[in-house]
Amino acid sequence: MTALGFAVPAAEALTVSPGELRRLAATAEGPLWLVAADVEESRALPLTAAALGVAVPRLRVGVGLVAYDDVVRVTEDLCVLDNLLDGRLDVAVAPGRGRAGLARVETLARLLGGEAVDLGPERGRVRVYPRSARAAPAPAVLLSPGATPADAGPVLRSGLPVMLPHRLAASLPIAWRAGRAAAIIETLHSSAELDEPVPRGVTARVLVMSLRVGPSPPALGSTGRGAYTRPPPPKEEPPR
Amino acid sequence: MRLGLGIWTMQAGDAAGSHAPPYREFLESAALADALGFDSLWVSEHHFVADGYCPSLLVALAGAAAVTSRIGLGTGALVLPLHDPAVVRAQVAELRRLAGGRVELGLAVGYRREEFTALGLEWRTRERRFRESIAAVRDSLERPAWAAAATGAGARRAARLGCHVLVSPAASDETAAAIARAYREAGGIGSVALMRDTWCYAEREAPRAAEIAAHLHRLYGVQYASWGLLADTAGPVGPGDRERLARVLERVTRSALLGTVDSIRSRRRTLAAAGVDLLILRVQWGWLGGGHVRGQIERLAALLGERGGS
Repeated sequence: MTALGFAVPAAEALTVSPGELRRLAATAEGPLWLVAADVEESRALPLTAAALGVAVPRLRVGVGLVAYDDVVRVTEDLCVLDNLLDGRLDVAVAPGRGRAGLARVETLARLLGGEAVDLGPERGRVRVYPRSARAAPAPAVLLSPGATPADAGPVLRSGLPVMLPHRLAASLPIAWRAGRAAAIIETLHSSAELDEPVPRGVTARVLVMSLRVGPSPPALGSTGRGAYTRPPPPKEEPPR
Repeated sequence: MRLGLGIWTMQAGDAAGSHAPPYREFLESAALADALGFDSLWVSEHHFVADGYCPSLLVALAGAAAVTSRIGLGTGALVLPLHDPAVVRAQVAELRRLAGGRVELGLAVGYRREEFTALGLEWRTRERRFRESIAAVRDSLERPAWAAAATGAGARRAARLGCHVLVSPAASDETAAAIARAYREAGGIGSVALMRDTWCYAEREAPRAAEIAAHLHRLYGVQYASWGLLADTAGPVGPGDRERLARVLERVTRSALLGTVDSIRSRRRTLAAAGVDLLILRVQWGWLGGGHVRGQIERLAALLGERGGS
């Protein structure tokens, strides 16, 4: 079965009241992802996630960040957040284009995993504390809607989990997707789009929702224009 | 005089086990302090410490914001030159939104060189970057920030920057009074906060006080002295000046608040008379074991609602 989560654009999560966000989160079954569109939103996101995850005790919270700031400071923020949430944190990072961005995500993965990482002759070997509360906290690489198969290649070869747009996932050879714990991100414009089949090899499905579809945040499971229905089960099982 | 709590301070807890329990206890302590009526809670920052000491104060306070509704949430202190001011500005703005304006931003220059090195930052320019960064983060605040000080020079800097002053626990009572005077003489019009390591005990626990004091004396000797934090009324005391250093260490240890509720009440009056407006009781000592913080918060609540002035 494909796991199901929901994502909320950070721009909206950062502007609705904490009470509204809590109400929305309480209706989610899977992880609730807060996804930053840019660096500014990314910086504030660990705080939003901390308040949300502490307020809703059993909720798994995902943060979709932009790789830009110092990787040690970002790891420290995430480790504190993960301990506040007692391990209920998922992390995805958009690396941007080019090898350097992906290398930052790989460094982040090692630091989050508790490794001492050599950051060069001036900084030396660095290990971050507190340790993440999770046993295997590897962050996923988040590919944006504009990403191409050429962008996806190095990411899939890196061995890190990947979150990628539905259309890109469907266009990739299945051998690349299989076994990568890949998640797809689907931005829905209508509930009819939920009927699209999940590509083979994809193990999780994250639906992007907007909070700005009406005077108040939509309740999951409600119906009507601008609201989101719970999706049907995927039509294809991932390969075993 | 207002009473705050320092509940993320001298952690020194279990380095080998999970770090989640002290973070869970932090949230429980915040909720308890909020319910009992303390004015504010303050957390302090260190990096790369194996016991899990908090390096990201604003994230921790965002968690505390979710379990509290009234208490002030303070950084005591955030080491500003270790951070990109643009990140601090964005995170303070978000914390203000989450906490409804309860944010007290305490800022420090920093004194542990290894933290600067591992974060790839210059040590010798930290003073300049502190001044520049304060200007950059000021517009994200709705009230003045607090600038940490361990000497008269630090107090004058706080006054010049238009900040309240946050006096380090490394300042003895005598030095703290001198810092408060220096702040006022330099035109400081804000509040004077003083941080004090605190162990409030029942009469039957009194025999343990000497042991606790000896432990603190050793800790201050190893940490504050090596970090160059100790000063007397004449100024900073270097490690080469052994006799003066020994005297200062003795005074700083004596200035910690180790006593019964009645003796701490009496000390509070003395400190108020010396110009302290906010007393921050730092109660988290990991080596005193789990559950210690909760017991301290409940015991110290007996001081709430009393006038601290003389």
